[in-house]
Amino acid sequence: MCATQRYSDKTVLGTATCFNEMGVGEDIRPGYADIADWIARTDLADLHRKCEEASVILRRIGVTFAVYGEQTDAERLIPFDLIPRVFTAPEWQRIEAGVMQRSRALNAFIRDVYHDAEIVRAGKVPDRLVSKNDVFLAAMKGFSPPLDIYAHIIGTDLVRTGPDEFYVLEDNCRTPSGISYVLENRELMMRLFPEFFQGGRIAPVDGYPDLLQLTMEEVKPPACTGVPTLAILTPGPFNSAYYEHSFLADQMGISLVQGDDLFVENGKVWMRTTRGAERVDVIYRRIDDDFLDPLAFRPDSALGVPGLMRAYLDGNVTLLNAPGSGVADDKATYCYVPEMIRFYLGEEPILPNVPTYQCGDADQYAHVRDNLQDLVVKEVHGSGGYGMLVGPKATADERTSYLQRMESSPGSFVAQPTLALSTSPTLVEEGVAPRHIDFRPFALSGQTVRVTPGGLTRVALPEGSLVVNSSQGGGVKDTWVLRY
Amino acid sequence: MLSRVAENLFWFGRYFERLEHDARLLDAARRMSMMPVAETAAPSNEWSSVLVAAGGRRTFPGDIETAAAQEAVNHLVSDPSNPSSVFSCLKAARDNARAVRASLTTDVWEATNDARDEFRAMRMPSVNDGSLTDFIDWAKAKAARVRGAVEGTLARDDALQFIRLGWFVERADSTARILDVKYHLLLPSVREVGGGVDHYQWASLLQATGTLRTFQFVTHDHVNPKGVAAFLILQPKSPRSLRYSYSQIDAALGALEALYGERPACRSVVEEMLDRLLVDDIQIVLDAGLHEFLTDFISANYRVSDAIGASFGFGLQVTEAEANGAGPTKPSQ
Repeated sequence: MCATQRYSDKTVLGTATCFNEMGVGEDIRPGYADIADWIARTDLADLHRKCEEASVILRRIGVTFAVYGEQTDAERLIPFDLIPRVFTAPEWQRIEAGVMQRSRALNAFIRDVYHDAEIVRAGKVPDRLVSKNDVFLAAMKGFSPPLDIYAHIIGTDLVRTGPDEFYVLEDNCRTPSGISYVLENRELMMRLFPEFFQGGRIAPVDGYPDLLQLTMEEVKPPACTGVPTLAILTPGPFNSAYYEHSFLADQMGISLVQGDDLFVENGKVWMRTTRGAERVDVIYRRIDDDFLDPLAFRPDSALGVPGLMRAYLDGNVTLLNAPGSGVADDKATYCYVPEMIRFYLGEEPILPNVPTYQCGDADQYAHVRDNLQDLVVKEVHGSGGYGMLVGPKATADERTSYLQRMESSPGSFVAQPTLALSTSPTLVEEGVAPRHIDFRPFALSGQTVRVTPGGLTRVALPEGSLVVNSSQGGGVKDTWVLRY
Repeated sequence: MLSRVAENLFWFGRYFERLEHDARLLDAARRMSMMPVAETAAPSNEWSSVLVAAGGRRTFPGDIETAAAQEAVNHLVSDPSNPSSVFSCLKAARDNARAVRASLTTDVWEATNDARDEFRAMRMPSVNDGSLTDFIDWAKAKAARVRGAVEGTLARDDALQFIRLGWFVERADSTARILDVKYHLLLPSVREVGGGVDHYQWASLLQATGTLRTFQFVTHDHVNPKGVAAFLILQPKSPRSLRYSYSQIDAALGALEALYGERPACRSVVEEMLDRLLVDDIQIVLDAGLHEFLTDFISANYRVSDAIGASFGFGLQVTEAEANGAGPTKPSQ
């Protein structure tokens, strides 16, 4: 299935059957002319040198992430690929409209499930995925957050299989990360290759912190009448996404707090400062629901703030994203997002889902069992590429032992056909070669939905790999949205 | 400013100051090990002296009195089990800086991060070639770069004052410790015994604080025990004296008082310390007992550090184990 593709004399092997974002040979796709030309005329050694330069800069800035379970080097650099991924203006318009539509539907869904659950009553979504869902939060029933927004920040994972074929792989409605890479990757590219950016054809991404700040201000709690005090709540420097937490706090000029920095008194939330207690109104929390408040959730959590949930439900503080938002983003609920779009918005989905088999359904499970070698199986509550089976790449033994895992609780698994993910030219040891990519744009919901033109393009660096997660050897690329 | 951030900045300052002190101690020991030893004096082990001055009694794994040069160097430079080694100081300073990235400038962060990265890539210094001197120069340069970045780029605000508090609390501790290790040399009963050998000993104290030239510049005096004690304890012009350190601690607290419009409770404790150091004649301190004075000072300095913490709400840290408990459901969202 592999054949040699040539962009230039530096080319290695690729999967000929996959859609190549840049195009192949003389047939360069719109928006990629400059990049194809640059690759063709630059020595491989120069490209590697620039790449090395980029790593040095990233390490100096400290753009690192921690990998769970790795004891040796607590911080690692996410591999940065020099060759950008490009969206033309019409491509972007469709993606933007699609993720905005999805954000509206997901927020309407979360609101609905914590109020009258009309979508369940209409028979569009089974109750087992709603009030029976592990992440359904009974405490949220009947509560309405400001502007009825629950998932203020949503990262939508998209893949592409052809010129016009985009699919949504999953929605991240809890604490999606990656935006700091989007901004840092762009800074890096503008520093290393200023010539590409002359003329302003590439849409800037650095407005994101302002938009996030605006969103946070718009959803201030009813108790706050003046200018709200904003903060980001982080689990601390040992968390994998700590760099991002501190980056965003820095960009917005707001406090980066840990659980111990906050306390609740008289139903209100306060920060401990060198000048005594200071009131906090809006918290972008990057801590999972379970750890948010030891009084409401896990009593052993040292990361959270006792009484925070009560203060939230009393309207004294706003939390982004709302606790219980996870009910909208697990891999089983995902199948029903197109239904949500039709049900709440009366529209047809702009971006389709990947067809998904629910192993909780006996017939679909039977199909999955019989066709395991052609499918990708994922845990409903899994993430980060952990615990998934890529059927075509797995050995017979791996498939058998995975089946045994599924047997005890089929409802915890979903399966999808293996997609021929698009590839993007990527700098590897031997040259420039096609590697599979995906894409995560970020939608911010406040008084309106705002999408920063760009997002995180992740690339699976090992040849043929489809797993783009940074925890599994994935890298990142700058993503260009062309304004014309 | 968050209390936790203030505390991280304070310790960031302390660790970089300690790192510089390590380097100067190594420099003094390196020089002394090449100097003649008085025939009448008991052979002194410079390397064990610096280990003691750096708090090695609690951390050095072997017999500290017979510590070999390379063992002492390793313990002070690269030993991760020694919380005051250059390695540990760099790690702790960087961890503290990373926890409060948003309160530091890029210049300060990069100076800190570069120091850590360069250290990791470095061959550890040996006493047998020039690499120890190179290392000492490197460490001093890194400390100077961080200090310069802090002073040159941070807003004239509370963050800067908390770093300064860390520097000078640590500096007072370092100077008092090195003096206490060598106090017997400064006692009036000690007389110079031929060949100017003790001159080297006294000079080594100034070298260990990086102030040999400054001593001569300020006092126009020959190196002598009383002069050295006065210079390192009472001299307001000495950059590393106890007196100067405390005047800087007081100034930082004064700046915080002005910023906050409220007098920090710990300022009274600091003023008491300053009073103690406003002595006209070092002879009064020597007569009362130099060792007693210094041990007393070191404990009082600890109490000052605690009082600063109490005034600004220090004392809250999430442990690594607790933090790693975060996000089991969707860790990579």
